Amino acid sequence: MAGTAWFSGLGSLGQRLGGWLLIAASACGAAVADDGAKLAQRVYDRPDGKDSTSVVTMSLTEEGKPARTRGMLVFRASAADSQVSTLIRFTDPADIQGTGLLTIDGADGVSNQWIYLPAMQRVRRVDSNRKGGRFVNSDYFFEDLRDRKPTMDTHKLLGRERVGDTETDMLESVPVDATNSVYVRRLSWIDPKSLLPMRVDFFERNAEQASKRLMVLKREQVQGYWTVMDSTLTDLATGHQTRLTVGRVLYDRNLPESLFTSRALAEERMEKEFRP
Amino acid sequence: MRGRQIRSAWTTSGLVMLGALAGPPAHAQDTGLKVDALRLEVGGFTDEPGATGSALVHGAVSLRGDSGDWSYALGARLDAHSQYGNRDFDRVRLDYTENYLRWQQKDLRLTLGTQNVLWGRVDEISPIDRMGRVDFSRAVLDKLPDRRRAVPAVRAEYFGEGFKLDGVLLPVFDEAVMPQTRSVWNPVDTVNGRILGIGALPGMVGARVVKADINGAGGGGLRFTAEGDNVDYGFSVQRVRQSQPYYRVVPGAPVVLQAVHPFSTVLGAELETERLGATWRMEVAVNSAVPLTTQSFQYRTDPSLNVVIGAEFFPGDSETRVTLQVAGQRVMTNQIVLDRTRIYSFTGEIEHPFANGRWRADLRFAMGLNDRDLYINPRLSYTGIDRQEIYLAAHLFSGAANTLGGFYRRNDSVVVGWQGKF
Repeated sequence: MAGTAWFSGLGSLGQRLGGWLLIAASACGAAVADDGAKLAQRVYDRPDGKDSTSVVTMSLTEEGKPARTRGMLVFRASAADSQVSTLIRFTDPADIQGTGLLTIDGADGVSNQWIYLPAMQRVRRVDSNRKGGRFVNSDYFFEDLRDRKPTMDTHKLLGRERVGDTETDMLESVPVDATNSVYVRRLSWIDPKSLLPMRVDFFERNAEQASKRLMVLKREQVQGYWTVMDSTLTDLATGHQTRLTVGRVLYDRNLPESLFTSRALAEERMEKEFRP
Repeated sequence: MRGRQIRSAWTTSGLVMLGALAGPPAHAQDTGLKVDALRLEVGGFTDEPGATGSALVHGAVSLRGDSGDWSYALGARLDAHSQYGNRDFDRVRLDYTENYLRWQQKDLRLTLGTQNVLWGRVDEISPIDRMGRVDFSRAVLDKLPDRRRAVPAVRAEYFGEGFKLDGVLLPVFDEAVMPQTRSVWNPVDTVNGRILGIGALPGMVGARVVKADINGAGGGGLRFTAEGDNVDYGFSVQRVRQSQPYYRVVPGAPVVLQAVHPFSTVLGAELETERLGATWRMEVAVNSAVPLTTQSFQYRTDPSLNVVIGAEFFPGDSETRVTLQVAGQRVMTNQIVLDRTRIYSFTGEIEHPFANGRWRADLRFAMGLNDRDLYINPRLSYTGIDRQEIYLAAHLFSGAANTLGGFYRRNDSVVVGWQGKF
C-alpha cells in the first residue's frame, strides 16, 4: 500500500495531495466525483512495498543565494494493521547531522512523533498534529510528510492533460474538513500507468491561485515499484525551490520493529546495518 | 584523585588517542573524526565598571568508531576566555568531552568513561537534571545543553518493551566549570561583597575562596522512563553531589568561603504529553538537602520541592516555536536564612526563522514571579550558510539584589559571534 510515508517514493506525497473534491450536485457531477474518489483510492493503494529505505538529498535553492543541501536516510515500514512507521535521519550537513525524526502513524489515525537532537542528547515528543511550518526550512510543510487518507478529501476528475510526455488524469481534491489541512485545494496530474502524480498544484488561501507546485522530473521502477527519483517543489510566489533526489532506494528488506523506537532514534548505530 | 587531575588525565588520554586514531574526516557518518564545534564571540559591557569587553574562543573535536558490539568515543574541548578592562584576565582551559568505551547487546548497553548524562525533560530549569557537570563559566548566557559537560561515569541502560532503565554511577566526582576568579560572571564577588542567590554581604569584601570537598565519588542514580500513546513518563532516584558549588561562610579575618558540593537525594517524576496543540513537559522533584546559610552564617541543608510545567507550541501553526515554563522551588526550613526559600519564575524562548530559514530571530527570557528578577536575551542569527551561524545578541539583566538578574545587573552586554560545526 502506498498511502503513507512521504518518502516511500515521493509518489505517496502526490497521492496524499490527490484527494480533495467537491461533491457535485448533478448526476453527471456525481459520476465524475465517483471516478475521482476511485482514482484517489487507487493512488493511495499503489503498491510501494512492505518497507523501504531511501537515501535522499534535499537541495534548497533561491535566486542569488547559495544553495543549501541536506542529506538524509529515510526508513519506512507498514505493519499489517495499517500502522506506518517512518524514521528520518539527517546525515548532512554537520550542524544537523544525527538529528532524527520518528513518526508512528497509527491505524486509528492517531500519530506520535519524537525528535532526537544530538546537541541535547534527548529524545523529545513533538506535536504530531502540526500541519503548517516548513520542514527543515524546505518548501514542504509538516502536513506534506504525513499520511492523508483519501476519505479526508472529496475528489473530482477534471479530465485529461499532458505533463511532458505523459498523458495524465487531472484530479481535484478538496478537504472534507477545512480545519485539517493547510491547503484549500489541490490539483494532481496522475499518470494512470504508474499511479504517480507527475505534477501537483497546491492552493493555500486562494482556491484559484496555486501557491506551490510539485513537479516529478524522474521516476523509475525499482524492484517492481514505481518510485519518484527526482522532483522539485517550488514556492510560486518567491521562486524558492526544494529539490529531492533519491540516490538509492531499497524495498522489502524486512526492517525490524526495533528500528522504529526511541532507542533507535537516539542511537544512529542501530540503523547502520540497514543503510543502503 | 582531585578533579583537576581527573580532568587532566581524561583530557590527555583523549587527545593522545585522538591523534593516534584520527584518519581523514568522516563525511555524513556517525563515526570518524569531527569538529563538533568552533565558536568565536566578542562582546562589550555597557554598564560594568570593572570590564569593558570580553572574548571567547571555543573548539571541540571528537572521534567515534565501532566494531561489533563495541564502540568508542574520544573527545576534547578548548575554551579561551578573555576579559578586558580593570578586571582583565585571559584563561585557556582544556577539558574532556565524551571519552568512553561502550558495549551493547540487543537490550543492554554498558558505557564506561566520561559521557554526557542529561536527565529530565524540561528546558532551562530541570530539577531532575543532576547527573551532569555544570558549565557555569558564562553563567546563563548559553542554552541548557551548552551549560552541561561530560562527567566520569559507569552507565548501564536496559531497553525493554516500551520502557528504559538507566543506571548511572559516578565513581569520581568532578566539579562544575566555574568562571575565572576575576570574571564578571563569577557567582562570588569579593570586590563588592556579594554572593549569587544571597545578595550583598559587606563582610565578604576581600574574602578568600577555597575548595573544600572535591575528592571522592559523585554518587549515582536510577531512572525509569516509558512511552505510551500520547504520553511519556518517568521516575528517578538519585543520590548525587551537586557539581556547582555552594559557598559556605567561615567567619574570620579574612572571611573564608568554602566551595562545597553537598550530597542530596533527589526523587523525581516527569511527564511529557501532547494536548491542546502543544507538547507539555512536567517535572516534580523532591531534594533532600538544599544548602543554606542562616543569619548567623551557619551552614545547613533542608529539603525542597521543585515543580516545573512547560509547554512547546507553534502559534498559528506557523514556523515560530515558543517554549514557556513556570517553575517553582520551595525550600522547607524553619530557620531564617539568607537564601531565597521560595523561587517562582517564568521562563521561555521564542524562535522565529524567516527569509526561508536563512535568518532567525530568537528571544530567551527568565523573569521572577515573586521577586523582581529579569533576564532577556534577544538574538538575531544568519543561518544561510550551511554548518555556520553568525549572530548578534544582547544579554540584559535587572532585579533585586538576591536574584540572578539583580546579581548580574551591571553585566548588560552586546555580543557578536560566529559558530560552525564541521
